[in-house]
Amino acid sequence: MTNIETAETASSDSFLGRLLPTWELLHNLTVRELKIRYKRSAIGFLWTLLNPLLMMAVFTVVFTTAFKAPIKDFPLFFLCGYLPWAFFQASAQVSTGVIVGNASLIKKVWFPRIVLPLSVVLSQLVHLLLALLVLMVALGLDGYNFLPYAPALLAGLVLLTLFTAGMSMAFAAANTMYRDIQEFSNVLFLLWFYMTPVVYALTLLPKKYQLALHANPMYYFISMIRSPLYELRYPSLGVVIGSLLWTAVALIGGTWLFQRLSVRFAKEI
Amino acid sequence: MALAPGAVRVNDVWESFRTYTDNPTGLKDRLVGRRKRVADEFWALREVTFSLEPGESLALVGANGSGKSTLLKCLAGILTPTRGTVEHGGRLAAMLEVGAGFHPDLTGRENVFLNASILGYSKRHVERVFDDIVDFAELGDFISAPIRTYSTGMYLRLGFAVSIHLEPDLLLIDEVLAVGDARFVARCIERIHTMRRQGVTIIIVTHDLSTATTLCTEAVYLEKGVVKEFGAAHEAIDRYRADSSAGIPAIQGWQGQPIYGTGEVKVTDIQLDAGDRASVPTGSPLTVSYVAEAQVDVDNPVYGVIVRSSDGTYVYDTNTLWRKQSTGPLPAGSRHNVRFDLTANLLPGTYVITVSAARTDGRVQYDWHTDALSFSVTGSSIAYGLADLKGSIEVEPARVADERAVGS
Repeated sequence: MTNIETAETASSDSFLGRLLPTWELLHNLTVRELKIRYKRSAIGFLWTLLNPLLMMAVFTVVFTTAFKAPIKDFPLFFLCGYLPWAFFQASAQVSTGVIVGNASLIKKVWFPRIVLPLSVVLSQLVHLLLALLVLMVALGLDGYNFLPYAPALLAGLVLLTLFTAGMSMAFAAANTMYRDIQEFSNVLFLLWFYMTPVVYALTLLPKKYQLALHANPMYYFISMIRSPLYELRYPSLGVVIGSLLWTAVALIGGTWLFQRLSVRFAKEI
Repeated sequence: MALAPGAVRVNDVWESFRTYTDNPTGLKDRLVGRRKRVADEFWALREVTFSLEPGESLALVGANGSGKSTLLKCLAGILTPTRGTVEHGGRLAAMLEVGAGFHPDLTGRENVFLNASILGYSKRHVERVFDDIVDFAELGDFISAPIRTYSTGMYLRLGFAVSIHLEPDLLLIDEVLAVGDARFVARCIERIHTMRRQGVTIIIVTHDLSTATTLCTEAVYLEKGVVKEFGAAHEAIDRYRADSSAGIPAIQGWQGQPIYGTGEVKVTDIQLDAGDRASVPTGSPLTVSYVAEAQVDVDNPVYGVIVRSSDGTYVYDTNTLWRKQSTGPLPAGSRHNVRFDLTANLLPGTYVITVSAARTDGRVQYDWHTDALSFSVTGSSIAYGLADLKGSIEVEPARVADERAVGS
């Protein structure tokens, strides 16, 4: 066993004094992600809002004109599912390459490696919250009074973020062992996207497929957020339990995998 | 129990790397090729044990691949030892890379805070030393510009400036001083000296043995991952120097260094005569000779010799022009035998010799051979540096009367 971590902190006496630099680093890296992302684009942060709107336009055209999906206010329905999905996908996909991509840093500096995927998740969370804010205004203007269900929405966001953090850590760590994950991730997430009720409602599927989709963790998190916002009701107990369980699995599994593999990052990459 | 700030304990550290014959970093190789995968275990460090007290400074020396950088990475916490423990007390700053985490689109100021926080230092801490950092890096208003607009020199200066202003208890430096212009490197070394005087423990990896001897009190000499000697810096470094110069002849012509000139006079048969020895002892005679052959008629050519240390410092530079020594006409096809009689009043180390033949005003080189020869000087280790100033030290008890005179 090495005692570097403990020795490192010998001079700072309190638990808080030990965590503070790590929080600050996490904060700084998150700000860095946000700053550099749009630093040299003309409309900058507006892309955060424009991207989902463009996706919405595409899917609305396809699903309401071509397929005539029997869904009321399809654009709003779509965004309530798409925004959390996009947050999850972007976090996990960017995190997949975040250790390998920062190889020079990891080989030369010691810092808690975990801040790398976490800063990705946090910066994506900022995008999600901004987009959600705009979506809520649109919902409000359209007569959707989701305020009574706000606690459920908040809980859904917290659980989604924790789940995403766990998955991002797992992807980031696993990719250092198997670079195939990075290559495979585009197809994986495309498949996962269509297996998740984002552009369609679960109830539109035949019963046997509905059952299969319950194995998909993202189904629970999308429901946690879409129920209060769009369906204007509290999520079912099954959905709450499902998301709690998946959050625990992802968070524990992701942290475990990440910490286990992180001692070898400097050698493997 | 926690160590005192700046103390270092390295206890029986072993570090292995696996080298794969068919590098399987893909899923297929892991699944399909599991059986035929050949992993050779390679021990980069074996049984490394040493310790430092706060305020001591240590040089890690050894040939390339001897495990110096691996050991430094273990100390920095980047690598976890396969076996054994590495401990240190207090705050650590590792200068293994200049400008870790710098992003080209962020300003110098933003990057300073980001870099420091990656190195584990708080915003409050950086705010306290921020002005010193900017001063040291000599950036002025550029600190508010994105660092993609910086020159390479500015980038390096800023990176260094952050690393050496963090007020650590233990500073790790890996060969990074090899870059940057001479004046800035000198300032960095001065700053490291200052930190040492303030009681910061310093561990440095370097190939520059003269810096190592002046900067460090202790040294670890590594060979193939094993500590061959740990002790006082000059002793361990002497042993390394002796071992590493054992295999190579002391006098040799260097290949591949620039040779240029108009060719009107050709310099050939460059020789160094040091009395047929493998190396030159301090203070012994040293003769450099060559043949100058004119291709066209020239008059009063200038012959010169330059002796430089292995890091390029001019030790001695002389020629017939400065000596107002006339060499006479040299018609086409005729030759001069040129001989420089020198005395090697040099301290142990490696030196290189440049020879030249030039036009009578010294402005046009007929033939210039950069670092045509190299030789090494051996001798006692009572002094370090370049020149043997033949110093002696006298110490005698002061008489009471003298003390009074000093005191009044």
